[in-house]
Amino acid sequence: MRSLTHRLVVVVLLSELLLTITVTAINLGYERSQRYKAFDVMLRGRAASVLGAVEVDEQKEVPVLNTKAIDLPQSDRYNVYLDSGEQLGHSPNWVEPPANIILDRGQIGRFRAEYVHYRYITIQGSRKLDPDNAPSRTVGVIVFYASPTTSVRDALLHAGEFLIGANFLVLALSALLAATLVRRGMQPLQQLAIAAGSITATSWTFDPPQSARSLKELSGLAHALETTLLGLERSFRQQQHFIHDAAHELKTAVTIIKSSLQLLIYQPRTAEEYRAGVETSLIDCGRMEDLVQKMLTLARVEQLVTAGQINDRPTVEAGEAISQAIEHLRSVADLHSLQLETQLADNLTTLVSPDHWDTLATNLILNAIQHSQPGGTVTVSCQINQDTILFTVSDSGSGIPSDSIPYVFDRFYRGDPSRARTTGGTGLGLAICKAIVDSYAGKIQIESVLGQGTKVSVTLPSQSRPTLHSNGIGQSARREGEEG
Amino acid sequence: MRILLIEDEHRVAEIIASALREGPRYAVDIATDGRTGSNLAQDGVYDLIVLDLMLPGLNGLDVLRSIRSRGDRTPVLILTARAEKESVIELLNAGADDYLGKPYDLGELIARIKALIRRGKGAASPVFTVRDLELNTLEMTVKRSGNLVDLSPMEYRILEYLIHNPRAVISKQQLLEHLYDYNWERHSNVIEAHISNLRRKLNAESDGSYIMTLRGRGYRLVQFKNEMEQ
Repeated sequence: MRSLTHRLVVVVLLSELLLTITVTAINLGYERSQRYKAFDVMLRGRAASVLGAVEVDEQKEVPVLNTKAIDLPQSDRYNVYLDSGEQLGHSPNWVEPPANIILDRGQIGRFRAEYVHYRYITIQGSRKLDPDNAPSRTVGVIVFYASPTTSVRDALLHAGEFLIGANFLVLALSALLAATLVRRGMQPLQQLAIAAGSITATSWTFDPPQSARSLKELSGLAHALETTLLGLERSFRQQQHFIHDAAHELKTAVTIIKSSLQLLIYQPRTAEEYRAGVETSLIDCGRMEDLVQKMLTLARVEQLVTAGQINDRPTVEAGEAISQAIEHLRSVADLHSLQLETQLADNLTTLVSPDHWDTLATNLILNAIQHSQPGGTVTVSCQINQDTILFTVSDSGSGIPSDSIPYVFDRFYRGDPSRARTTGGTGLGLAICKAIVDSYAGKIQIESVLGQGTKVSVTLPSQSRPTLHSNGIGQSARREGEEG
Repeated sequence: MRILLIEDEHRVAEIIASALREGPRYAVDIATDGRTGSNLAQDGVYDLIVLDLMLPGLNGLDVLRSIRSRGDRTPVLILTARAEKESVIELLNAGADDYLGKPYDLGELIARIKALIRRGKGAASPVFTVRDLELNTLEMTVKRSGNLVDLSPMEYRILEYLIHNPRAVISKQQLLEHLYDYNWERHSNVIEAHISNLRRKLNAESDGSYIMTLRGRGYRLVQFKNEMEQ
């Protein structure tokens, strides 16, 4: 696995190495120029002393090189000649320098001979041949002087070795320091990782360490983790709650079917009794089927909200879906001796899909029918109001006690169990309606007066809005102590 | 025996009640919410209470606590869809005698109910013996000296109740309360008629009575042959 610490240390080291090399090179360059400057001064001095050794033989009136007066290192080479080209004398080890050397006066140059590097200088002087006469005759003297640079080179080499050694020692120390500091600097990240790693499906507590919170680079990450985890935990708990509730409902449904069949075979019975028993079991199976169907519907609608693709939906005509649902339920209303009145506006354009309209209308109207006494009236109305649609279902039924109203949209909540029993309610109808309405960022409200009736009002968008926000669905606030 | 069934799910209650009436021939009263159940339990006429945990109004655990807080020792069997250890422990600690998770087996439920009633009356074996009389609560048969005695359901239930409470004097009112549920019209002379039939059938070969009448107080099982003479 690649390590961020390693990478950071390597980056620091590489930049330090580059710096070291540069500094060493600059140092060596400076050292070299200084040393050569000094060498050149020495070279000039030595050449001058050779020039000084050129004397004039007063009898013969000719210049001569007094080699005895020259006390110079033996490795140096010199050559003295007159400007007429006549050689006056040279050092014992003199050899002709390479031909390409330009012997400009006063110039400093270099050459290599016998694997030794030399620096040379050419200086010029003059000698009076007859100093007593005036005007006297003078002759030009040229000194070519070369000295091996071995000592300078050795000194530079030593300086270089020292510089490189010292710099690399500093480099190694600073690398160690950098690694330690980087590792220490990474600690908040590790602590954050440990805190995040301790989260499990059973323990959602995430407490980012203070060290991570106080760091500019990490506080954002810690905060993002915190918010994400909160959201995840909420949805996880919601799902757990749903699964728990669903398991309870399904277990009860299975219990009913299983034990009614067990009762049937408990003792010998007549064919009619068996038939009646099987028929009851079939009704129980139908109820369970309905329960499973509704749970799936609810799960699907809730999925829609999390997907949040409301605005992509096309605008559709709602009137037809609603009137179809009403027509399907007319026979049920007749069966309950109820009047079904409708007030539907024209041109009901809406974002809500026809399927959802059908589910909404069917659930709400069926609820109203089931909660009404024979001879009552159920009124379905749908009006358009600017950019919203108001859909209401009112009944003249028994009403809902006010202390139950906050819970009627909860899953599996049955306000009055005795009533749910006779109508075979699953306690999911209103939860599905709320989930659908929430998925369109709409509103669903319920008003009820005991003994007078109930009115459910649904407000839904009729066209796209620039921003839609859904505020989470599925009330998980079941009544305390209703667990079982 | 009379059972109180506190269960809000109509179909579940119906099925358990039918099974208890058909099988061990118990009288069964049904309460569909916690409060009604708790109030009925106060009558103290029940030999066992079957309690569903998830109830509207007052939940099962609250009902159980209110029963136990009154010092009521009636056996309580809990029905629950929850199977977590914590809730089971909580239930047993709150005074439940047994529990059964949904979906349960009807046969097992009835067997547990019978066992709890037996235990509640201080007996361990499902077969009760009084002198040469043998009452088998599993087969619901009565044998006298090894010979089957043919009893009507009500006669059997009276004998079963007396045998379950061997040392007590049982009044006619008590018999009425424990053998009939609220759906029945009850008259004490019906009990007298059943007792007289029961006596006649049991004493067919007349070897001393099994049921003693204490005038104005009720009936008692005669456990030893010479008890009547004393």
